[in-house]
Amino acid sequence: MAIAETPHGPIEYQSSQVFCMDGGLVGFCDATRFVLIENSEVEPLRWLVSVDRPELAFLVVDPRLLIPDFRVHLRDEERMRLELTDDDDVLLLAITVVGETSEEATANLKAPIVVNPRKMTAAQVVLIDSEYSVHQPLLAASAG
Amino acid sequence: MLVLSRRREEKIVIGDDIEVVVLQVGQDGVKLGVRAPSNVTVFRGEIYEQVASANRAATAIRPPSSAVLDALRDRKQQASDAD
Repeated sequence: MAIAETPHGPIEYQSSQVFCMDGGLVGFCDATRFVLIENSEVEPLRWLVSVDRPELAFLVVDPRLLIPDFRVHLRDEERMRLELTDDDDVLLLAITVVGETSEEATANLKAPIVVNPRKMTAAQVVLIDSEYSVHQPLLAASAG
Repeated sequence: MLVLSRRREEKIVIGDDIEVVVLQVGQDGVKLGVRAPSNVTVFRGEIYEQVASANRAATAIRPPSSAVLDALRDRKQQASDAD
């Protein structure tokens, strides 16, 4: 059991929970190892915490909760990076910015994080042609 | 900054395993091809800035308000009811 001291308090994790984001999160190339933490206080959001830099703690949401038919088309290089096979089911996470009011809350649906749970690999994938934005309104997302 | 002159189909090499090839030169743009290992991400500069800045903004978060969480919980409930 290890502990990461996040700005929101310490979190405990097992080394088996750590997944590896080769190349890091965009803009944070030194943050390559993450854990995903369930917490009833923020559910259905989850904490995504960098174990390399625990000050980096993000609230993430399953984009399919916002857009039920949300899809990600991965390029061959991205599939290779994630060591994905055709049988693998990926986990999708969108980084949110949640404020005081529902209107302000946004999720980054243009650059979701794709996790391959079988290999514990992950990548932040930029969907160049996506109709969604990096600041997609969280609660209006499926209204349109 | 290193400045290099290249013609069409000429390339530059960065390290051992990254190549940038000039594919097409037009009046107000060039088309480049990039060959890089799969662990190297390649973005247009403005896209990189947009995503990196969104990631940075997301680190300075306050705890979510109960209004946001309640709305998301309702939505999750609706989704599971629909299944």
